[in-house]
Amino acid sequence: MDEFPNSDDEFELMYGDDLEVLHEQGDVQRTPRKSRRSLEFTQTPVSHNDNSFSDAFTPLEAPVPELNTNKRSIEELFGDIDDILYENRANAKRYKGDNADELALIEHIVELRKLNRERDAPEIFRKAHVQSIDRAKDNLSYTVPSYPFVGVTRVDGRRLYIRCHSEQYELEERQKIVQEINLACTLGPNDGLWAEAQDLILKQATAPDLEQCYQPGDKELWVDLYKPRKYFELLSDESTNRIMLRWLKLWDKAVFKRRPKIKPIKPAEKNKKMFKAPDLCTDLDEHGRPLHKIALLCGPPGLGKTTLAHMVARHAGYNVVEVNASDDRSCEAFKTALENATQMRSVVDQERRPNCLVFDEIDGAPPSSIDYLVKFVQGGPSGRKKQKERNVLKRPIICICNDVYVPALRPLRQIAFVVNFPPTSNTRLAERLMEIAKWQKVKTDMGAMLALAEKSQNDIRACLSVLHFFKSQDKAVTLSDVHKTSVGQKDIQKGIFSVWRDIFLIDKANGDSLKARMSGVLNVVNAFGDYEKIAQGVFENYPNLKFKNTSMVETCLALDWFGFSDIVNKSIYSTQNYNLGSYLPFACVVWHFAFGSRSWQKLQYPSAGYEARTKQNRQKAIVNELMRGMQPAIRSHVQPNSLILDILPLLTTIITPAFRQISLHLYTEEEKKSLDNVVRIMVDYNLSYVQERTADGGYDYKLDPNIDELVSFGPKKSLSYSNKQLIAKEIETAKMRRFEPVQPERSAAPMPNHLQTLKAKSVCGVEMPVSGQFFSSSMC
Amino acid sequence: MQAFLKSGKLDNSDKSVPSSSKTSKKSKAVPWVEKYRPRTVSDVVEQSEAVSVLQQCISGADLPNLLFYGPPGTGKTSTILAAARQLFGDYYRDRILELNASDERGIQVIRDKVKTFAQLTASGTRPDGKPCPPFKIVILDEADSMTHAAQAALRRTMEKESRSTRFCLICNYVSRIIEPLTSRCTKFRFKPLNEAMILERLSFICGKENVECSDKTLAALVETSGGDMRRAITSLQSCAKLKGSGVPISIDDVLEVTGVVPERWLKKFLDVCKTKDQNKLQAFLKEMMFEAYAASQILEQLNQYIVNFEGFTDQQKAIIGQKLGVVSFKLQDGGSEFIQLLDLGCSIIRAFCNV
Amino acid sequence: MLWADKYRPKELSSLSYHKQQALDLRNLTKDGDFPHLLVYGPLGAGKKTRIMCLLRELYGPGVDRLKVETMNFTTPSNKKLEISTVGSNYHIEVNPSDVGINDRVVIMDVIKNVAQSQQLNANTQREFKVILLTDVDNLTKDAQHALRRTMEKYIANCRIILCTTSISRVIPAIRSRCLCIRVPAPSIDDITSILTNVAAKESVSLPPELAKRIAEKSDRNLRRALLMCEACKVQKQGLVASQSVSEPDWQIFIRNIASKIVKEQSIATLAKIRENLYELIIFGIPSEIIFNTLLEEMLKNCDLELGRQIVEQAALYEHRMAQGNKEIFHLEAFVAKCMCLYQNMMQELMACEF
Repeated sequence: MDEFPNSDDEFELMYGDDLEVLHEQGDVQRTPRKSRRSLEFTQTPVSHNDNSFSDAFTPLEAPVPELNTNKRSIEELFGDIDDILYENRANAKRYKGDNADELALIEHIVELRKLNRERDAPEIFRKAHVQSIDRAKDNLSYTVPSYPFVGVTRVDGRRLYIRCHSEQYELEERQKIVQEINLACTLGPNDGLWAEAQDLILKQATAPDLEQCYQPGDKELWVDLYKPRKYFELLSDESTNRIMLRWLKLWDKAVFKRRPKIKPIKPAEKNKKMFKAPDLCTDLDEHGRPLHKIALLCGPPGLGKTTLAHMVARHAGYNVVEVNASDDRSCEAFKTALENATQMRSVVDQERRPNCLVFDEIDGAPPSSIDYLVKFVQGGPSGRKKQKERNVLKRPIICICNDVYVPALRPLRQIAFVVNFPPTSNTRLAERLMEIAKWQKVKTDMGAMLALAEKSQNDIRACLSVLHFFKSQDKAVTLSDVHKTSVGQKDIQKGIFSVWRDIFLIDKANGDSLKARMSGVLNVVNAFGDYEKIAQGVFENYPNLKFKNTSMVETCLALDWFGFSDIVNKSIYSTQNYNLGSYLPFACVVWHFAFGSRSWQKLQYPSAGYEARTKQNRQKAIVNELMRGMQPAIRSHVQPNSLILDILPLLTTIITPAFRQISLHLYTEEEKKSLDNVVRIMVDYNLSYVQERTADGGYDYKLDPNIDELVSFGPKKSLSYSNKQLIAKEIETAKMRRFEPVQPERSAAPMPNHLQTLKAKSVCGVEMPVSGQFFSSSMC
Repeated sequence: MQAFLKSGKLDNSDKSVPSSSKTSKKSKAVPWVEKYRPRTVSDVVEQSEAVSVLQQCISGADLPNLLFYGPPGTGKTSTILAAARQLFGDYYRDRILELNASDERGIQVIRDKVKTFAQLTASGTRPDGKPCPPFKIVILDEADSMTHAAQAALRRTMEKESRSTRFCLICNYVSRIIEPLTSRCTKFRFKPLNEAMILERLSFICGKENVECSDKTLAALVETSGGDMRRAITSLQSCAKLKGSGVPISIDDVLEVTGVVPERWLKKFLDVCKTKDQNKLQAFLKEMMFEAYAASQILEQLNQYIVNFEGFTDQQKAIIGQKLGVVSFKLQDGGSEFIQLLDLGCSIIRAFCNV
Repeated sequence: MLWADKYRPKELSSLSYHKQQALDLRNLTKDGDFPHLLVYGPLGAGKKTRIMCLLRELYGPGVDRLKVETMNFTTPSNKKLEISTVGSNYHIEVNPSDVGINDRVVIMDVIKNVAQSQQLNANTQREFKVILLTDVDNLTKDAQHALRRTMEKYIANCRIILCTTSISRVIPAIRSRCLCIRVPAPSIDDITSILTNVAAKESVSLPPELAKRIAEKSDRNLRRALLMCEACKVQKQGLVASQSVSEPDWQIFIRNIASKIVKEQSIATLAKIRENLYELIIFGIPSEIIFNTLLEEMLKNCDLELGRQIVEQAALYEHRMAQGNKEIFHLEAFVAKCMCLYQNMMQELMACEF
């Protein structure tokens, strides 16, 4: 016991440093929260067109917002770090080294500021804004001014001249503004903060690369860290964002009692737009609500649907109430959530925002809940008669799902405004990743990011996680790194490869005894669970192992177990008797003993089985096609089996007699007859030659359906081009001849069925053996 | 109640009453099996135990729950149907619920259909005024193919409704019926029919249907039937159909229709095996396959043949018999006829080698 | 037209072999009644020809007026199925195994449809239609059980003709409800004489030796024999006795596999053979036929004891293959076992020599 300090001491020992830091920080702790919020939510985006212009002003007007933000951002930073401190004291020491993170944030926010112009911003902003406009008069000119200037060409081609100030002047100006603002600052004059911020920026600008990528203490996941905080930061498809916003704005009349500012889309504009988003119906009903009371956002995971919903709702001035899979979603709970969120005024928060209900992952909700929701939205009369008046839904509801075709969602789909979430564009995601990489000081290039985006199928979350992972490895991210990682295929594949590896590898670490090996394999395999896949992988990989010292006897044994696992699998599927599954892992043990080696084996994903199956299906399709087109009289005597086994292999020989390559009228009687025969056979079996362009640019005739593909195990003799052409032509005419004579037949007087048939056949020009006396006479 | 019965063996029971108008109109369509089903319990041949119990019941005693088991074609279904007819008269169909394997007989059906039927009360008089026992009969044909869950569901129903309902379970293998059910029923084993009995019945039918058939042919029919009356009658009818009226039926016809393999093939099979030449065996088996005989039939007959074959010692017979079992199982399970027979042939060769 | 199609008999009376059976079938149609039929026999024995002749006998030449139709079904699980049928006014032909495990639904639907639609033409002599089900041996047990009851239920307005290659795969309950018609393969002599006759009709001189050889090579499959004969004729204008007879590719292919097994026993060979087996499976050759042919080829170069062992193993693996889903596992296991046995034998031989 002596060696150990008592628990209190221990705590002090461990967290002493942290506590110290905490004390130091004590005074700056409390303020940030609100300010961050208000910053985030009160600003409306400025369209990107303005940027170039406002950028031009930066030298002059940057100080105003910059100063402002700096102050706040640092507070904000402190706030963040506080969180971290509370959450995980052990890491708090690192706070000092947080520069990178801080810088990133600062820069981030600075950038945002630059882009923002605020109408309903706090007082200072407006003042500064007015000021800057005033000054613009002095500092901007369309004609060549007298003061020192920089020439700029505007987007519309207009030339502008912007005044250049000396550094000195700027400093003075800045100080002036700082003083002005300080009046409004809650924290009082804080020049030190500003200076500190300047320092940080300077440091970053001068030596960003020299500074080691210090492990940042961010315990926040990047996914949360880089969650878009602004509407225009959204990565999702522009048009989708816009249409969601427009829909939400339609509620303005009902919720905010003001006219929605949305103008109906001009038809011309509509045509221009390529996006497939459904046209938003802008009509309002008698309560001033849009026609669709619910928006249903659907799309694959990781595209930012939830983010969009939150963003848009906040942007339109709502307080978001989210109900997701983690919440209880029984019908009852649903009801309360709905009523609370949409009807009670009391829930309106301090800022008096109305609620907007977001149902995340609604495809997992029980159907009864969804039914209730639908009823509710439609003015749900039945259950709630006493409250008829207030029953009208007055708040927008956004539902989010991955699969819109889940049966339970069917009723919802019909009444909701369905927005299909298109995948984020590759480049847009990659750009964003690059930005983040820059902030996080992860060295990488655009190519790698593009590859990453592609590999993860534009799953933002996945990309960020991978990036985070790379960051923790502390090295540059290259294209090959991205290819090596196993994102995108989702993590299951990584799992299965390691399972296969464990089967093929005798791990010394686990001990050499058979018992240890067996239990090792069993553990791994049991944990994975998909035995069929494991079996397939082992089966396809074992012949390619590098060092084969497996004897035939062992192979046989192992193969027996493949058979066993197949049979067990089948009976599991056919009888639904999953108890049998517990016998499957033992096959893996046998395979391990038979094929395991000490050397590292290169494994491949088993695709042969799958390929074979697809090919088999293709062949089946060809056979079906062939069967379908066959003349009925022949069709009735042909079975797919006999077609494959007997007819086709020989048919290909029969329809390729040795024709001379001369024109038709030079053929002898004999040859003409055989040509005729070939044509007839081909018509019977619905074969023909189709012209196709070959790879080297020439043309060739191919059989259609391509039975050559079906039966030949090697190179096949085939006819010359001209012969095929000839046959193709003949087939056309033969087919025509076959169909033509049927026409007059139909108009003929009705006759007993069987007579009609006989005639039709004879007119067809196909010789039918009148009867088979021939056979009978021969046999006695 | 009609609704229930519709899903039962309606058509069968339809035909089993060749009463008056129906027969005359459509007599052709009635299979002889149905036409010559025993009308009364006393018509049932051989199964004395069951018959006596049922006869007592007809004369007024109570009827226990019944379990009939035995090989196919021994009259299990016929007996209970005949009894029902005698008990309830022409309206007997209202009083029975017949379910066989082709009906849906999952646990759900037992729960719903059987229970509802069992809960109906039955009066002590027939519609025509005569007295009859106040219960209904549920006939579960081919009960051995019911799932265990369904059988278990039946247990309670059987006891609870004993006041108004009797159950009659019919199956081939009593071992497939769960113990709790068998203990609730009186078991009757139906023995394979005596050949003489079948012969008698067949010649009776021949007389009625104007079929010319020599005694020898009839004997062959009886032999191939293996004590299965239904099979014998069906075969007879098929032969008669194939030959047309007025043409005597020969033994070959019988063999052909019943799919029996002529004995010369079996003999040749053993002869080929005796040569101990695998290629010959292969060629022979191929030929036999081309004759399209059913492999299961070959095995069955071969079994008989080998048991009676003089040329083997008992040990050899045992070896072959064992293989026969394995092969037969694999064949039933979907194995290839050719390969399985080849396997058997090789074993026989080996048996010959070991002499 | 192919000779096989061109010279196919259309009447029961013109069938060239199993004549007694043809007569019997004719008797069957004389009576107004007609039982369900189960026709079985090997490939190319003429089952279908016989059935068509029988139908013609029943209904007259109207059955030749065939049309191909596509029928749609919906399974209880709401899956859409499509199956193409061939039929005349009097009969409909369905191959239910086309739809795999959903065959039960198809059978029930087809039979119900047919049974419920009465013959419109009142003066047709038959009051029933015929449903022709082919490939019955591939039916699932489920479907067969369903069929058993349906057969009884709708016997009033429809008759069912089942056509199968192996009667063992048909459950006894169905067998006992049908009149079973066995169609053995034509004998070699039958085939030879048919070939000669067809050749004469086509005015092609066919040397008797060649005819015999073709007949032997055809596995007593008349269709194949006729096709082979025609292929021979196409290859060479005048047929000569010594001419080579072209066989279906897959047979040669399997033969090659067998020789590979004998040549070298190693995992590398096994890998190569696996590719070949995959190829065969892809081409749609039924796995049972792959197995049978492979076994035959293997046995050609085996002594008695080895042969016995191989056959035993074959019986084992083939049975397993029928049990399982993935043919390739079982085929490969068999190949490996053969290699193993072969190796053992060679080692024993070596040991004996020294």
